[in-house]
Parts: sequence; C-alpha cells; structure tokens
Amino acid sequence: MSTEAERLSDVELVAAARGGDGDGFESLVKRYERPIFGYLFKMLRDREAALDVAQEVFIKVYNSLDRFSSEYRFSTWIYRIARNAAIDQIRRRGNHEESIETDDGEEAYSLRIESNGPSPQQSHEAQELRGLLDSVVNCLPAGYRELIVLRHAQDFSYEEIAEVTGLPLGTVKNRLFRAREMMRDMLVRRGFDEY
Amino acid sequence: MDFEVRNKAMTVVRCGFDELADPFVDETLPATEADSFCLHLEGCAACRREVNLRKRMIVGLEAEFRSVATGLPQDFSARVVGSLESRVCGLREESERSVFLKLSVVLTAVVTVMFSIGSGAASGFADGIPPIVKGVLGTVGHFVGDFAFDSLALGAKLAGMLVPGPYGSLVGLTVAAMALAGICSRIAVRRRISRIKWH
Repeated sequence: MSTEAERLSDVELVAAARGGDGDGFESLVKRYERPIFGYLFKMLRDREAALDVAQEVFIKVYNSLDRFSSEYRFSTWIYRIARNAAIDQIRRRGNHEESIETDDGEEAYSLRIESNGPSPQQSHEAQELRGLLDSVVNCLPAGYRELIVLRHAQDFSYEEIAEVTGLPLGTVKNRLFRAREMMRDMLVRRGFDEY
Repeated sequence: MDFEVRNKAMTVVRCGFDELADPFVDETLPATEADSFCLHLEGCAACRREVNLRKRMIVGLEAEFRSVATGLPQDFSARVVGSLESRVCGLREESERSVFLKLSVVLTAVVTVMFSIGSGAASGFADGIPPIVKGVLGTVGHFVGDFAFDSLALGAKLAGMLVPGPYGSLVGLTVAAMALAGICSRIAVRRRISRIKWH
C-alpha cells in the first residue's frame, strides 16, 4: 500500500473507490485482507474455504459501496458482511453443530470436549503453546469462538462486537466471559501452567 | 489419566476475588475496582497466578491469531481486483451487449431513413409522407449525416497531424475509436456495477 493511501481514512478510501479510483479499493483490500482472512479462517477452519469466502466478501463490499453510509464504521460494516458470508458457507456445508447463531453453545462445548478434543497427553506431546491455544479455540462453540476472535484478534470493543454480530451488548459480555472461562479451564486441564 | 488431569484442574487454588481476574486482564474493570484488585493482588498468590494465567492466555491467543494471517497469499489483493474485473466484464457480456447492439441497429436505421429522406434519395418512399413531416425529418437527417461525415473528416485530419506517415489518419482514427470505446465501456460497466444487487 502506498504511504499516501495509508494516511487516508477508510471513509476517504471508500469515497475514492466510489469515484472510480481502482487504487482506492485495492488499498482497502490490502488494509483489511489479513484481518478478514484471519477471522474467516478461524470461523471456517479451512484455509482454502477462508480464501474463497474472503474474496467473495471483498467483491460484495465493492458491489455494495454505494450503500455504505459514512455514519457507520467501515470496519464493523465489512465484518458484518464477512460474518454473513461465513454463516452462508457454514450453512452450505450443512454442519449444524457449527452454527454461529446458536443461542447457547454450552452443550456443544461439553460434547466436543468429551468426544473429539485432543487428549491432555497429546497436547503435552505437541509441546506447542500456539497449537494448544489453537486447539482450545477450535473446541469453543462457533458462536463463542467468533466473539473471541473479534475481541482478541481484531481488537474490537464490546460495542463494536455487538454491532457486527447484532447481539445485545449484555449477551456479548456474558458470552465472552463464558468463552474465556471455558478456554481457561481447558488450558489448565491440558497443562497450560507447565508451559 | 483423563480423570487425574481433570482432578488437577479442580484442585487449582482459587480465591473468592478471582472472578475479577477476567475483567481485569480484559481491561473492562472500572478504574476504582481495578485499583482495589491491584492492591489485593499484592497479597494474594492465588489471584496473581490466575491473572498471570489469563494474561499468558490472551497474549498467546493474540500471537496465534497473528500467525494465521501469514497464510494469506502475497497477491491476494491483486487476485480480488482481477476477479472483480472479470466478473464485471462477464456481467456486461451477458446482459448488456445485446441491449447495446439492438439500440445501435435501431439508431442507425432511423438516421439512415432520415438522411435518405433529407437527401432526396428515398423520393419514392417519401412521396406519401406529408410535406411538413418530410421537411423536418429531412432537415434533421441531413444535419445528423453531415455532422457524422464532417466529424469523420475532421478526426482523420487531426489523426493525420498527430500520427505522421502514409497511414497516419487510419492509425490515429483507430486509436481514437479504441479510446472512445474504452471510455464508453467504463461508463457502461460503472452503471452496471451500481445496479448490482447484493444478496
């Protein structure tokens, strides 16, 4: 991205792209490609699918630029588009357990820990802190994982997360607290203290 | 083994204040409560351990998330822009080309008829047309025809001046026509994009 484009705000880049400046849109893509891909990869847990959906997201963004209102934050708007695309992709896969829209993922969480999660011994053998954290995040129900990613990968405030997901602020706070509790418990069970 | 590890997790010593560890690390604890909790931490090993555990978890999580983005191809943005261009051209091919073609044929036919009437070439055909209508059509047709011929002659002359050589006029006109087609195409594509509905 050129230094000139780096200095421009999202809204200014959107205005440039709307005015037919292809470089303006490409600068927006470069600014958001990594966070959007990271978010989709965590949600879909499939690199190729995440790449395809990320591309689809940016094309939808381009086609919808005229409908973007500058009174909203571009970052939350693009994540809302990415979220909808991730939901569509999960639906297409037909994996009901992965539903992001689940009201309460506690049950799915318990089931997955008991049946599919790697054993503590396997985690010790891996000796990879990052791998351990990755596996713990993947054990979270999709609806909780999404909030963790938005909060700790994208550094969104609780209010911004509520805006992206359409969830009430209280629900966002509650789920994030519970998600971190689940992660904490799983990490302790898998010997996180010993790293 | 599973039971032993679970049991170990349950025996981690926890203090009654440790529920503040999560909002403290997440920096969502109100300032006064955060200050009080800091004081509490100085004398509570269990809460210190809990805070350290959660801090390491969050720091590790952020590092893990950052590492994910390294899986993105270097040319991703170029791919997106390329894909966008090909999709837009594709849309134009499917839905707009036939419309432009029909419109061009109709306009050409209308101008040709009008010019024929105006120049007297279609005297037999124009006999049945009332003189006033014939006069108006002829004048407009003549004007359009003359304008087209004059523009072509002027364009050829200018192109000949800009591009020297025996085929200068032809090359210049071709370049000018391609530029004009490019501009029209861009306008048409932008109009098409603005009408695309996002489902």
